[in-house]
Amino acid sequence: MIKLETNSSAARRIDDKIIPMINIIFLLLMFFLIVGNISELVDEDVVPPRSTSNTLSTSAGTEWLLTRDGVVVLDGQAVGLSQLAARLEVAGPLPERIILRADGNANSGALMPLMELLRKHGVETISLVTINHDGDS
Amino acid sequence: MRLPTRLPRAVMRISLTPLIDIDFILLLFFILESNFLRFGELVFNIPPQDQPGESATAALELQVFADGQIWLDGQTLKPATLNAYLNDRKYDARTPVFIRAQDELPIQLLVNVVDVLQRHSLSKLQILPLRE
Repeated sequence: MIKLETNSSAARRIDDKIIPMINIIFLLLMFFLIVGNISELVDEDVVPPRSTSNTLSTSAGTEWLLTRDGVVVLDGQAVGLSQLAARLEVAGPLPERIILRADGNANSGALMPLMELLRKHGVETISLVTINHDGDS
Repeated sequence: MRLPTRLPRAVMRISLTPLIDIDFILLLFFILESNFLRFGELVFNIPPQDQPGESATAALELQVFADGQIWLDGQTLKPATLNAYLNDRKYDARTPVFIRAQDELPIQLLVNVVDVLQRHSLSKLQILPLRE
């Protein structure tokens, strides 16, 4: 007797072949969801220095940016040191710790006046954001 | 031979094709947007001006130049040789370290020096400008 194949059984056979692929895609998706990090994107102008110290960043709070050209960026706006000093005078007291995301190629000369300004406003420590690496690469 | 006049009603099935499409789109998004960087932090102290610091004799003072060379205790060192230097001497973890950095020194080279110091548990760091 000739057995005719229905549309549904043909579809089932195709689906059965596709299921392993879906599994792999789901696994890849899970991998990128868990291991990947999309919240802290690296700004091209502010690539933090690499460090082997492997201290994980635990601080939360306002980040100050120091670009490669030595410009301070606060709340998305580039501010000069004099402008920054004026803004800090108006603003309330600063927290004791400031998180600074500085570009690794920025000069230390740009860091010093900023630290001096923070010192005047009672800041006692600066947390410099780094990218952890194992030191072998 | 007798053929059925009507095929049995196909079982209702959910098509997997839209699911795969969405999977691919999500996968592509995460591949393009994800980075695998792990961020850390280095902590520097900024003591108030009227509090110059602990006894200067016990402190370790380094001068770091724009090319990454370090001047310490009359010797010119590189970060690798600084490691060897610190290996030979046992410093207390509470020893304050003053790093005098030249203005043109890239922050990356400064961090390299700090990494070496932290490997030796020296974490009471203070960065100061190098005035020649």
